[in-house]
Amino acid sequence: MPEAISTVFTNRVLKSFDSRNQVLAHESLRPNYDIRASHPDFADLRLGERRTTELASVFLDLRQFTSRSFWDAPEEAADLANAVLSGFTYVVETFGGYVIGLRGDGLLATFGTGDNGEISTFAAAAACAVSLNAVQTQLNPELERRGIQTVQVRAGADYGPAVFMRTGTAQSNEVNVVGFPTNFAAKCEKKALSWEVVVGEGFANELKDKSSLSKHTSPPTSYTREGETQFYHAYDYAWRPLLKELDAGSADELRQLYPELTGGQR
Amino acid sequence: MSLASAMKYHGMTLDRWMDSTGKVHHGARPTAAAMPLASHTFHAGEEATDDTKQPKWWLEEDAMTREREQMRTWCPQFTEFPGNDEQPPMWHGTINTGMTTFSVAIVHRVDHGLPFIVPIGEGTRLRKSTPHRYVNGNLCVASAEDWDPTEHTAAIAVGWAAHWFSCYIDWLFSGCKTWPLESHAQQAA
Repeated sequence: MPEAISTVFTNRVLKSFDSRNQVLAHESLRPNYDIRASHPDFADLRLGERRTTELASVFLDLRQFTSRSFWDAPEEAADLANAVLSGFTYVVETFGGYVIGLRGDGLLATFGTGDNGEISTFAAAAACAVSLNAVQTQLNPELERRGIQTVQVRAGADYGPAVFMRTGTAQSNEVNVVGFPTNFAAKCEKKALSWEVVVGEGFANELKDKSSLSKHTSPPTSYTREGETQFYHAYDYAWRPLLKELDAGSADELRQLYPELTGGQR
Repeated sequence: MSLASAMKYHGMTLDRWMDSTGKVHHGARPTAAAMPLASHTFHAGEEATDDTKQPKWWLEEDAMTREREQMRTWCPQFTEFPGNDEQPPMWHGTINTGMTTFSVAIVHRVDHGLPFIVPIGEGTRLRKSTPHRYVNGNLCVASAEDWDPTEHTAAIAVGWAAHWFSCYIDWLFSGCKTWPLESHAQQAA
């Protein structure tokens, strides 16, 4: 089990949470401040320009956070979400991924920018496994010790073609990622219960050994056009056995063996 | 536990290499002198007996030439005990896992099947509960089907034994609970 990554995750989350209300002077007051939610390989896209690649998309989400934010003071909920998402960002980057988008209670990350689907999906799965485990086994016990309600996490993922495109106006624009697998990964995240990872068919197809997968209880999603209907399936991914096989050096070794994961940017 | 084991969970395999000391590496070739390890899986149970009625293959001309060349190149720490009219050849040597060193004998069979891998010296101090050993105590480093006598020599047997010892060390570090997944048939989730 990659204890070192989980420990760093927990320490970062707690440090971020403990330093709430402290605006970091050197990062404040910049207009349109970007919290580094972008992919460096596509930062050079000009407005309206696009590039297509194959990658694994992952949505990591704090489950039942809406109800939490109903009851908690807005600032408290925001501080905790911010802290946990900062931890997820660390785990994503440790396994060679990039955080593409941050929303209140979750994030979108991508892994791989080439045609090595096996490695991209492996890295994505490892990041999900370590993130879920770190929250469940390290962060939550610490939150309980502090008298703070624990958090619950889930993940959805898929693999396939995605288009990076800079959209917006000259004054306000960002690089957006669009693609069926990315959209379906979001659906998978919604299907997942706490501590589950649900993956789409594209992700499942990249696994040579499918014994970690079981068909999700929800019916397959159907898509119909001009009288033709096709189905796309979601699967429960058993992440705990993968966690048992990872060790503290696995992430570093993965990035060294497969530099294409990070596109040589890291 | 290792990246290779984790990747096996997805059905992926990393290339394996053995350097001249017996240490096993995964992924990229560590040095030009490293030997690639052919695919193999560990098992257990009763070791197959040797069919001693088969022709004495090692007595044929040049039968051992390629093996001696490969052993010199990749396993210089091993010493040959040549075969004779009654016994097939064997090799004795050490395997350095990077953590500790084990001694083994690679004993060819009369039927030229998968050699016996016999722990000797410090190699006999394995835990009693060690998985992937035959009932007779020999190491099970591959299945009979993994071995191809037309292609493989004692060098690959040394490499498989080196991988076995590498997994043994990982097993020890896991508290004798988990043998690396990369080395045997994956269990259903």
